[in-house]
Amino acid sequence: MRVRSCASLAVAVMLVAGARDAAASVIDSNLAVSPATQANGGGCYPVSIAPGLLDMLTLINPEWAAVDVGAHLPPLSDPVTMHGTIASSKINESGDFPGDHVTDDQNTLIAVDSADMAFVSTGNVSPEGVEAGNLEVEREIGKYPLFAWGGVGDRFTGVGRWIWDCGHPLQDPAGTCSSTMTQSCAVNTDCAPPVCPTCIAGETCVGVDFNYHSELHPPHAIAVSRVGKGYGYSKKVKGGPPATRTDVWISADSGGAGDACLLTHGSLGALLTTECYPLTHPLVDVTTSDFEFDIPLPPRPAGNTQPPRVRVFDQSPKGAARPKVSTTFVDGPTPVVHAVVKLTKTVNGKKATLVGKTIVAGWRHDTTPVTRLRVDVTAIEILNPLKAVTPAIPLAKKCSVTTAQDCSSTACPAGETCLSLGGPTPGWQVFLEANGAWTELPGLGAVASPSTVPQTISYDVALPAGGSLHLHASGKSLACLESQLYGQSLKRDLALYGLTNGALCLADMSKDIGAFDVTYAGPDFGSGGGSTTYATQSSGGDGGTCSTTMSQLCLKDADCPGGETCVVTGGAFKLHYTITKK
Amino acid sequence: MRLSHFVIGLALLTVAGRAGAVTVGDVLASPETYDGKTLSLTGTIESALPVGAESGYNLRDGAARVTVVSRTAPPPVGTQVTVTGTVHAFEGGDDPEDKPFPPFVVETGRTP
Repeated sequence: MRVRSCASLAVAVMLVAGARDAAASVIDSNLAVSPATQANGGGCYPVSIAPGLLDMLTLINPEWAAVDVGAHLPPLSDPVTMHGTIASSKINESGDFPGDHVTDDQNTLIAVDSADMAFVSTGNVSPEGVEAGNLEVEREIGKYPLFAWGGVGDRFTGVGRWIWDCGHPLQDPAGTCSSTMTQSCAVNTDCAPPVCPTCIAGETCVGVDFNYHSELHPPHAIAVSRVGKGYGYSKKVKGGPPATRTDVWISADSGGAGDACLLTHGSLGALLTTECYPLTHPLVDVTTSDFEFDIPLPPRPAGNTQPPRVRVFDQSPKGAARPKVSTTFVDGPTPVVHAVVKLTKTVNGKKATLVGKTIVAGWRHDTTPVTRLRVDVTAIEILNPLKAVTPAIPLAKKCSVTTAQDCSSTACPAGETCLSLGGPTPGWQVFLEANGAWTELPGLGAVASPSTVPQTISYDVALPAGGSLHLHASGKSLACLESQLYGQSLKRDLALYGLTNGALCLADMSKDIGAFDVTYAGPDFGSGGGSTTYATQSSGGDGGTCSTTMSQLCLKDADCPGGETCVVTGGAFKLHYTITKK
Repeated sequence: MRLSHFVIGLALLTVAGRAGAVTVGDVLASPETYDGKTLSLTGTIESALPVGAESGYNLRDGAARVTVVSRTAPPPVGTQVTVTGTVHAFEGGDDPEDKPFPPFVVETGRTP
């Protein structure tokens, strides 16, 4: 692995100048479809301005393309290092395309440091960029342990794949055909019959402005430094004196976006016939360079001349090689601890390919006052499970290999299992953070009706006077797409479900459970000075009650008795929790 | 009659009046309006994709086209057909990861 700094990028020549004044220092998203980028199957491939569903396969062929392959052939590229501050952190609440994901993505939006702004694209800062100029870092939930997820305000260093998000061309403005200028277009075929019956032969689409987003997707090495809080010097998260807790996760195994098989551009027919699962072609070898990053420190106490205290804890999975971490205090106006995870050195002859670390750093004898709090989450109350009355596709039973065989009444051949396909989809998936410390709420896999699921989650928090307590949930009510299609190829989907039921399952996306995002400021941080209990309902989201039969919960009109409509109210759950000052 | 009732009544009359003449363009322009509804759409077959005994094909009506999935083989490319089927729209949102998938139709009948 050759990790490059932004300044050394060959694509520096691509920087936009003048055309988009407001974004003069960022990379032009139109380069995603330039002939140079598309050489050897690289780059992105847009679709017609009026595509059918089948046409959308083009957008995932591949779904992510390297911005710059350098000296490599696509899909290979050299990793880049990006630095920034986390602006938001959540799961992809609406679901990802399942054919190239093993699980949903965790999405971390970072406000990129000015020195790294060349990684940001015009699409990120355009009106199509809901990222408001930031850049998204995505890694599959199943390949990203919770201890290393970040929260708002945390510092971020990531090494990984700098890509165009090819699934979202976001042409704005659309182009016009070269002669028939009243005809809008995205690609040249929009300027010919039958899309444009009046167009002249040979017309091309001109002036289209694509707004592909650039992303770090996936990062294979992540360091998240939690600043402005207090932490104990321990492997487990707990409050303590002012300190910075940095959590590190390194792994080449990052799901679909890191696998060469899924990232290789091919024929559309190949998309439906190629079997990439189980994924066995990771794009990177994480052991070819060390992972380096700086850890910010809390404000230095007046008169303190000692170097900081630094403790390193290993979080690697059992049995994995545990590489050393060197830490060096770099004094100055903004002192930091420079950390290096020694990935290039083998450990007892073994490569360190799956690494977790936690580093806690703070000033010795720092007596700056902090408020210690405990947040106890006692229950989640499901007010509306957000389940359709009629499943997207009826329940069917098929053998795992002999997929044409119905196993509802006849046993499968030896060695095969009988799969349940379609039918009702129970379950919610909810992740909850307190200031960037994430937990997945257990016990939600069977949610199918209104219920209260007890929880025993506690957060131990320490906040300085100017700090705040941020509680935030990110989740979804699972539907057919999440529960059935992830981690398997389109070829497998077609074999199991067929085209019609496969499309119906794909269209049955997870439901929005509404937002839970509250912040408590000092001096009591929601504790009332002692202990305060809350039952906070989510706001917005899907679901409601039928217009007349108001006892009937619904997702859409079809869930209601004849003639009634579903009146969407959102607010599908309440979280019960207590904030206690310790 | 309250103004809101009048407006709703007018809208219903408008939809009812167009019930037999919804076009592919109408569906694409407002997928959520037609989501779950059974309609008849007329157009020309293009880019058919047989998948086992099933098929997918694009139904074109002027500049607009919609994908139809069928539990049977596709009609010949280039033929004009009227397809009866149920519209399915993808839910969208303001998340950058939301896929901008267009609606599709699950065929329940076809003429010729």
